[in-house]
Amino acid sequence: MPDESRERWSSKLGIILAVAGSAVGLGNFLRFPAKAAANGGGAFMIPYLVALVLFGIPLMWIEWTTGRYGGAFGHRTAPGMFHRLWRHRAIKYFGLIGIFGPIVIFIYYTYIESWTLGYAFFSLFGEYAGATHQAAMKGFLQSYQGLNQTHFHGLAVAYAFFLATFLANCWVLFRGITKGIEWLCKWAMPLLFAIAVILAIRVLTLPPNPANPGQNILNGLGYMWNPDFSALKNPDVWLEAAGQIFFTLSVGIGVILTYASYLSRRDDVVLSGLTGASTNELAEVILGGTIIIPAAFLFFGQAEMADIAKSSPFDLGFVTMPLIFERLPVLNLFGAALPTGNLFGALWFLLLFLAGITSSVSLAQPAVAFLKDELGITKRKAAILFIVVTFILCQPVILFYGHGVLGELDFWGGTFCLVLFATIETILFGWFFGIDRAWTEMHYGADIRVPRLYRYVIKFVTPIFLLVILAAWFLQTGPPTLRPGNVSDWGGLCAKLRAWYASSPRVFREGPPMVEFLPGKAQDAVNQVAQGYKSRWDDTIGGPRMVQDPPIKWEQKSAILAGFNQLLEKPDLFEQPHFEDIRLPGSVQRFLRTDRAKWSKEDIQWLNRAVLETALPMHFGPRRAKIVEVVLMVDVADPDRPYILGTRIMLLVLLLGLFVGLQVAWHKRRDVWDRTEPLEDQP
Amino acid sequence: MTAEGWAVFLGSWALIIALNAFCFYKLFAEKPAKEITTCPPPPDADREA
Repeated sequence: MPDESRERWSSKLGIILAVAGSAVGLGNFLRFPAKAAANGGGAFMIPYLVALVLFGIPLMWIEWTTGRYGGAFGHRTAPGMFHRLWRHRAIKYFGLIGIFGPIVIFIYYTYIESWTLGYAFFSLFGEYAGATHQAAMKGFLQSYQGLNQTHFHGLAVAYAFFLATFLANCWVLFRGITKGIEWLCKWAMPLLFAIAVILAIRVLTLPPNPANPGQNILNGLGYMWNPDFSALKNPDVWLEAAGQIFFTLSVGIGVILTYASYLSRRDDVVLSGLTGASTNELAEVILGGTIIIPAAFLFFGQAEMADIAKSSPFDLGFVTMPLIFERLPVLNLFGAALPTGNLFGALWFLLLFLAGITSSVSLAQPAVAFLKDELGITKRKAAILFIVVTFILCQPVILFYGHGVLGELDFWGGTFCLVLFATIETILFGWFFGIDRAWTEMHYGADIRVPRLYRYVIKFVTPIFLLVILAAWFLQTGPPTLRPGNVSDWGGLCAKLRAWYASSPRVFREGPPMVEFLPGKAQDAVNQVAQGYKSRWDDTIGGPRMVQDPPIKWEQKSAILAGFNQLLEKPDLFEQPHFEDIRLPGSVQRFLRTDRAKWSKEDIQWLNRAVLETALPMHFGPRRAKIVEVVLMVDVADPDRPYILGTRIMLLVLLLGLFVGLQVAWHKRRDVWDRTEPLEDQP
Repeated sequence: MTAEGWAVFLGSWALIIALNAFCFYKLFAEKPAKEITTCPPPPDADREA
């Protein structure tokens, strides 16, 4: 049986830095600034701070309190803690989400973390120095990921950095809570803040762009912070802000529950939870908000900022930022020219690596704690079992990266499980455990008192907030993820594809209908679907209104998606008369002026995607924007269906394994599960 | 940067830095030996579903 004298944090600062280390991740420096700039700039801070106060901080307190309470009964993970909050036979199975979710995130997060380590080296040794524009840098990233052979031949380099990262994680896990995680966070977190401050100061002291003095840091800060209050009328902006708070604080994962279970019953949780949250905000708003967007504005200007702000966090971190650091002026040091871009680029990726490793070791801890404390195996064996299982599970992410495996894992582990878990624990805490007991438990040993208003916030506002987010996310991302290509209005799309020029004479010159570009099978499918579709002109909406849209068959959808997939390979697509009058983004226009003979297959795909992404919404109108998104989602559509199904089977097997483990734990440690008083309250 | 931009920028920074300073001050401030004034919640033997 495990030793119930229990491992403990050696200091209060240790657990706060560990929780902050878990929360401060890649999202603080990549996701937040992009979300803020794309959702009203400074106005985004209003829903952001409201969400922080109304559900970010309360969720922190809920998790810290539940973790410490469960820990007092000898539980380290969510199944046991949920059992403590509500003594119902079935509730412990919902707690499995708090072990399953972190494992799933760990599987892909360590691989992304390894990119940061690799890029830190590439930056220092000028490995990507030849890439001077976004397309080339993206090509470098894709080559590193094994998607093309332009810079790297195969996955050997990426795999080497993955192994180094994975071994670093293993080493920390072997050393346990105090000597491993606490030690790492006590070193890594101050170093991370120091690097972020250095980078922020470097960015804030950059001189204006000599080619265009309007591109200066002050205007860059303005791009990030000038409020567009009209954005507040858009419910999506509020959802985005709530989502950002949710993801940034590491709540709803199960990690904080495990960390807090190593506290003593008399340790404070209120002030510690608040400190953890505020430290994360310091990294996100103060440092994260100062680096990327102002620097990108200075180097790329207003015209490209809209594209940059809307690009994925990966593109921001691994495509845009290396380009920016490459362009930093050379520093003359003792007569020798030192390309400072290399140094700052390496610091940037070291910063991301530190943010990543402090998060990834935390993601491993619930599973290791479950194996050690609930199943009663030794710390060493628990770590080995976790390492072996996750190492095997990591392989599909690396080997089939371009087939949507990572996106699938992110949906289940990084989105669905998080919101579901947080909703369940909040309802259990406020309603089944009872707000009176919860309030007393929270204040047991507390260094500060929480305003009474939060009794109502925790009981009513936080669960409602979470239920709304759960519903909204499920409706937005659930159906397309569960069934790719499952959107309405396919008939309208096909009808438009057959009448490209006729319906948009102002935007496009006359030319053959778009459908003629598609391969034969796709053309047939479009024609079949369009025949069954009927619409009539409606003056009230100033456009056609659908009157008959028969269901589309799966094979037809597949053929159309595959057709668009092939269209992306077409080297002269952008020269077709349909696209002559559209206004392409600045980055695409600049790329078109480069030497065409040097364009790789990936460059052409990127170009065509940009052309279609600009042209299709103009042609189909904003109402069909979703369908355009799906059509362009070709790389996660049909060709990857076997990989997606394989990933889901893998996750199902993992869940089944955890279920069996919980059954064993339930029977093996029945005395602990049936305990009625906390260990420390016993005489 | 507009005046509103400066206001939001400085306001957000001030709020977060003040919250952080408050937390770390309270955390490291000299405290007398902790006296637990509230009682631990009652045992939950009677809550079996």
